[in-house]
Amino acid sequence: MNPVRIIPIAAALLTFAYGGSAQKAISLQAKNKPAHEVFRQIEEQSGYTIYCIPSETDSLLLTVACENSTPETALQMAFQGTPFKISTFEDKYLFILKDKQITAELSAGYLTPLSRPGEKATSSASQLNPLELKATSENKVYTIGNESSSVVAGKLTLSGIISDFKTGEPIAGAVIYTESSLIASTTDAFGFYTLQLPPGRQKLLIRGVGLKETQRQVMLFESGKLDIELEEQVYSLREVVITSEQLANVQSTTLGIERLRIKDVKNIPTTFGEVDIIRVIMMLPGVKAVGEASSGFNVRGGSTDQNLILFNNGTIYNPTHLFGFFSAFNPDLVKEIELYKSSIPSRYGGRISSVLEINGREGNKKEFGGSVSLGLLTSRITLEGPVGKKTSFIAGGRSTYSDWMLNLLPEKSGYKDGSAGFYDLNLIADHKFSDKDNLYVSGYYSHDRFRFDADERYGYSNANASAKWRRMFNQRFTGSLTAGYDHYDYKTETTENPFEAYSLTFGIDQAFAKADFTSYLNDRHTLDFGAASILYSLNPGKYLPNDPESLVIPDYIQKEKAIESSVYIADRWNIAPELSVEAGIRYSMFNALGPRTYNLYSPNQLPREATIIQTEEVTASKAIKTYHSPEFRFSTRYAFNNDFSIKAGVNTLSQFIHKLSNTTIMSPTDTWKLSDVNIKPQKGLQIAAGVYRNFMNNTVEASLEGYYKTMNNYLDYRSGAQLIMNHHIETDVIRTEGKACGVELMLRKTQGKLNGWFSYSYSKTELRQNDPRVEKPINKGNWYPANYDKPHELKFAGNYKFTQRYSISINCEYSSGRPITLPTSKYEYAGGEFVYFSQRNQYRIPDFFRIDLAVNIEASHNLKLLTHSYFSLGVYNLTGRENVYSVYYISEDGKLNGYKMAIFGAQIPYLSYNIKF
Amino acid sequence: MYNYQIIWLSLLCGTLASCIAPYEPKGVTPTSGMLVVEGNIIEPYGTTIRLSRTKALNATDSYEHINSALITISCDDGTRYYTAELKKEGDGIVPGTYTVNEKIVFTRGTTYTLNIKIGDQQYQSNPVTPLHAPEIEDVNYITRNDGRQVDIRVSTSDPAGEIMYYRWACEEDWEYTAPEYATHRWNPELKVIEQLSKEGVNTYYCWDKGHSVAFALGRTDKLASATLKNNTVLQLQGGTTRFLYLYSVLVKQYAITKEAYDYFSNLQKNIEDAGSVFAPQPTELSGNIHNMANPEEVVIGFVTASTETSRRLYIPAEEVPGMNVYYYCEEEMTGLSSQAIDLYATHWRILNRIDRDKYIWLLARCVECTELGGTKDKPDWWPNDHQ
Repeated sequence: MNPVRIIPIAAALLTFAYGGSAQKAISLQAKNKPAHEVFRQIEEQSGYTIYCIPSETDSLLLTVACENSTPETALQMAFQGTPFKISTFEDKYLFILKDKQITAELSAGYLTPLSRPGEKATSSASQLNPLELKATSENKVYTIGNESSSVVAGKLTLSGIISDFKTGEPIAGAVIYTESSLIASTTDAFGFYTLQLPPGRQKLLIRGVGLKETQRQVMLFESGKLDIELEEQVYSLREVVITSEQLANVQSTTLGIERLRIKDVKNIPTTFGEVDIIRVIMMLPGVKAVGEASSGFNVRGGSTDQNLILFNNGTIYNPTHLFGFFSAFNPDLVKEIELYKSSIPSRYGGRISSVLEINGREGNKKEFGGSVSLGLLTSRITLEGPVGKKTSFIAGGRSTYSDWMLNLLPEKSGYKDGSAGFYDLNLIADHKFSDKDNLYVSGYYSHDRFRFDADERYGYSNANASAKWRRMFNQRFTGSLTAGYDHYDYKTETTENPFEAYSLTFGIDQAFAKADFTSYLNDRHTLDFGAASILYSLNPGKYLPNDPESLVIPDYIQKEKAIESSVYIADRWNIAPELSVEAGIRYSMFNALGPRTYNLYSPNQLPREATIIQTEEVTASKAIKTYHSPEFRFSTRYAFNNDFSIKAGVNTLSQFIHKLSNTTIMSPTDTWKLSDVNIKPQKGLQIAAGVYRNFMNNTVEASLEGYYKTMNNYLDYRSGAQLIMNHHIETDVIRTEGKACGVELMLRKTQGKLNGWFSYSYSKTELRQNDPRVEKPINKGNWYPANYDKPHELKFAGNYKFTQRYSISINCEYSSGRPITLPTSKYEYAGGEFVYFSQRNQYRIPDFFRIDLAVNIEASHNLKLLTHSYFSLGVYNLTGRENVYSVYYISEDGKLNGYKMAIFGAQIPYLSYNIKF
Repeated sequence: MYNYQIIWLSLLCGTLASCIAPYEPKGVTPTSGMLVVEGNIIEPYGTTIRLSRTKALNATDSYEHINSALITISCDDGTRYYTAELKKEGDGIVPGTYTVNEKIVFTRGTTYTLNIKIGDQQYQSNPVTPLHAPEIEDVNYITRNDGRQVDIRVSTSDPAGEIMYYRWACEEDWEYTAPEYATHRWNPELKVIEQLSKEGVNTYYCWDKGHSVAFALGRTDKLASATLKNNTVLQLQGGTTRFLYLYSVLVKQYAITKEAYDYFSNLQKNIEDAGSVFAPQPTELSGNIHNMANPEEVVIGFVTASTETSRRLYIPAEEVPGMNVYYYCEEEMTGLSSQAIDLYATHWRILNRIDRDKYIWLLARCVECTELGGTKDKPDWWPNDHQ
């Protein structure tokens, strides 16, 4: 028998540990150095681990000078004349405590194995029942493998799942690493990690967003498996705004990634108190929005349709509710959000600007629970729990009652007939077939309806369903198969004049399947590879009479079909502990499929009805046009030490589906168009580089990233373009090229009473119509600023926690005004007054500034209470500044008058009440 | 929709704060002086060309009209040639407005070109093919918003399917009455009190006129048998004298080309949709007039050529009671004829006589219809014998 050794130390003392490995005598010269720095040096030289209570020692400055002393002596010198006492234990551990000396004598019983339920220790990995055994203790040394097996030189593989102690949910994005060397791994979306470690005793440190910092100790004899259960921070208010892992910021190879956990999002003040994922995304550097009422967002100069928005693997085409006031995701079902602004992993493709991945939660695997949230405009309910031992589910629904706002309108307004509403439904279930096989199923449906008067009605829906089967083939090889179906549609209808009543519908259907594999070849190489395919079927427009008397001629635009396929392979290569490279290639192919009738245009002239040279008709379901090209994804990191690194990367991307919209923001009546013979795919290139540095014991992260980006074949519209019900859209669009560059500075504090982030970004995004066939290009073919070009942006999001029950959050945002096109001249025509616009986007609206405040109150922390409630009250736009959204002229009785419009021109107070049970 | 949305949003915000405020952007480099040509060649009569120049957005002076241009309309087969003359009205001219006084008769298969000479600059329109406007089949109205809005609607069709795009102009005339009928009047010139009568001299009946501003446009390209039914061409709100007695509107219909339709609807979009949340980027479309020597010069306007068809609609006020305006006329004075000069000077007018020399006086706007904006000029075709 080989018992798991347990080192019994009062848990309270373990709040902080500095680790190291075997040396004894130390020499140290330090004058007024911070305590943790002194501790670190002692640990490095001696191999001792020092335990202390950070709140007692953090602010201390120590002076010590010694040669070849024991660590204990060195510390005693350092703490001479202070109430701190130094204790040693097992010649490996040092304890520093105020007025307390601990006796490091153990009673005999401590050294016999303690059996805690679920921690039956066995000697060999093969004997472990991983379903039951999970490493939960920080102090225990878990033995992996058989001691008697001859210790092989070289590396062993340790892998497993990191999950939440309370709910059993896997934890993604946690970093597990050894402190002595730069061996680190980040858990994937399923909490899976793999480390290549030397044999012997290892201390694994685990850090992650919103996680209590913790460690596990292992004795490695053979390769094996170690599932780890983590406690989340007990008080969710504690860490308000933490993004990305502390170390991943410096250690990962990727650039421009932002990771947010939903509970961090929940404290950020928002309009009407609605927790809103996309609004929080917009608080990050490099993410811009045209205005306050737009949930479409622009990442590093990309347009709103160049973001791939994935919710549990499903593509969301319209991420907004209520004309952009809210985002379409129920925050109670979201676990975390990852935004890739620069290094886009090879497994993603199809959009050229960014990937926003929203991962849903898994249901609680241990007990039934739920939550209810009541807000001013919406309410939501969530239920979750286990079904049998191996299955769990989570379901949620959200609905609005915003019509009351319209009812507040005065009787005279004539808009009492207006109404707006939305709801969304989610279901996520997972089933564990075996230790190696998991199945995840997700369904999502959202629906919006609105009308401004009795006549015109709008509605749109997103629907997604997907299933993912994940298999861990062995310690070094995992894979997943995903298949699903995504749908988006909208409908506009009028009824007032029965003779002209029409309904207009648009829809996208796509079925997708993909396989992704990860192979941990050795400690140097990790391979990701896979393939994916999407079958698109688009209804570009159906225009039908909406009344028996209607004279509307039914009009159908022919369906568009296409298949987009890709294969990819990427290697994460640790060349040296300091240097790592991630290099990937993705080969994508797009086939526009028949049957279809399409025009060919004279190649030297802009497509126009007059320049049609031939009309082709393809009746078979075969490829009518194929585009294929490789995409390269490359990034590299050089780490000077654990706290400081530099990175650089290059990405190329292609996009085969284009949004047709000449509005400045995402609008519910935007349609999409697939590439075909006349519409080329968009191409994007981004080059980025950055410096990353963590300060103050990794509690402050700083990064400075710069990028340069180009976009090609982006679609702009000819003057007077008709985008809806156009049978040959190529005659109304113009290819445009874009370039963007910028610098983003981010400072983020992830721990302590005050946490949050501050960012500054400078950026420039310009577009140009460079097609020589265009007679009168916009702004004479010169570069002009894009609608969302806001050069300076300062953003602050912070939370200060007074006690465990009360905290306040503040958001603050400043940005340069966005460009607008203003008329420069006016004239009389047909008895009215009209305006003449000259150059596009040559003027700017006034600068934007807003500050929001929220107070969060946890009613009770008693864990034994049946329900836990949580209040949030706040004020959006605290200063009541009327931020200008647009400036325009309208004709009133034939006279022109200039106006400015602010969407939120006053303080908007809110209150929301959440109950968890 | 866009327009509604602004209003909707502003009302939504209005419950919380005012969100829309008058604003003049600063730092805008104004442009001015571009030539604006409004030209509609109409068969048989009514061809009008207006020439003016654009002015800076913030300019408050009046528009510059061009009165010295030489304007001709030429037919491409060379057979016909018309000259447009400055329009005269009374003793003076209507600035910048030129009319063809000759009868125009379109010949099928020919095109017409507008030629304008201003100083040494020669401008020309693209050749325009005249279109034949179908007859208006019906003009009717509907009340909306609980009777507080009247929409004038047109039905028309072109079974041949040639005409798909329309432009309408509305000429409005209406007769209204003063809130109260005055039986007597102080004549300030003769300094006597005269008797009035509904059949003879009175201050009760007045006439006013208006015309549609901007464009009413319509299309049938998506409608069966190129039929437009009940297409709104004019929206009227309450609060005016229009529906106090008898309202009449003459709807004039012109056929236009798709290019003209696109041009005009774009002008309209640029002022109606601009600024709303989902507003498209404003754009400028090129018109069909250019400077012959300098094709780069921006000339605003689109010349059209069409026959005119028209139809008139009458709406008696009692049919649309919701459009009625209430005038406050409770305040009254009793005065003797000796006090008339003073009362008259302080805007009081006689309503009626209550005793031999005693009159009830009301405020002028209550008994004199001309105080409400109209005149006593009755159109000669007006269908009643009111004076």
